Amino acid sequence: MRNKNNEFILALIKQTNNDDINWIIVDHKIDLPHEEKITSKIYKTTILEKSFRLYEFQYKHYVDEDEWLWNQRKRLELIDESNDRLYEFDYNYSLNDLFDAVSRKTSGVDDFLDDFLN
Amino acid sequence: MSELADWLTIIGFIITILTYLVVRSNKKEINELNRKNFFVNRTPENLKELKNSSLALSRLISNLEENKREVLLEISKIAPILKSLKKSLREHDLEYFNLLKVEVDKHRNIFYKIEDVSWLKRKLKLYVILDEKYVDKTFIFLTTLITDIESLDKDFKKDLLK
Repeated sequence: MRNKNNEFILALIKQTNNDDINWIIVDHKIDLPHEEKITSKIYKTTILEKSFRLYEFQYKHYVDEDEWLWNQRKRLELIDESNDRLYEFDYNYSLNDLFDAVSRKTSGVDDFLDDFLN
Repeated sequence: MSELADWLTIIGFIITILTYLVVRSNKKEINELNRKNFFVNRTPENLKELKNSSLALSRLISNLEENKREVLLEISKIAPILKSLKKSLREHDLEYFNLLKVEVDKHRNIFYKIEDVSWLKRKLKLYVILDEKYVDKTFIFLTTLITDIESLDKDFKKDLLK
């Protein structure tokens, strides 16, 4: 029953919230298939000499041959030195919680709210 | 006369069996319609609440020692959502639902630390400690269930348009 993919995402959430890993915003050019579009900043972190990239994208979910709905998802990838994708982690809803942690930390909104409200 | 009565009895018996089969089939269809109705009307709200719990837990479990009470409160909030959600799911969609339910139901017998557990409960092993292992497992089952329901929802929308 052990799912290392989900355990890894959970570990990233915890380490991001505890500032054990830092994410930066990058300007990568990513070729996406099937009319996918990136709809967020692109975040990158490095752990044990491996680089990971996280972003939100929208894609067409076809409900019929010519009917589709726009859906949004988060994607986590392992990338190489040239910022090319080496591996894409399976989608799990916890990627949304990771994205929340990463965007909160990189935006500095928590610090701002602490300063503003105190 | 007696032969006619025998035949009428046999025909009556056959009609009873056929009626039973038709009623059983109708009941099955009504149950399936009920399930679809629950899925359309209740799942969006249940899914939203599960996502809220997932977000809250993801923020709290990074510092579990300080947030144990809030974590327990969040886990206890999931129980009534699961009760409602069960009516929308089919038997073969229940894998992570059942796994999560087992963990969530433990919140009634949970303790913050082993020192709080009575010797009898310790002896009978009738306790769960709210530790990182328990919370991590619950979070992973919760987010996987949400992933499954998101996928079912997409399939359902596909079916509705056909």
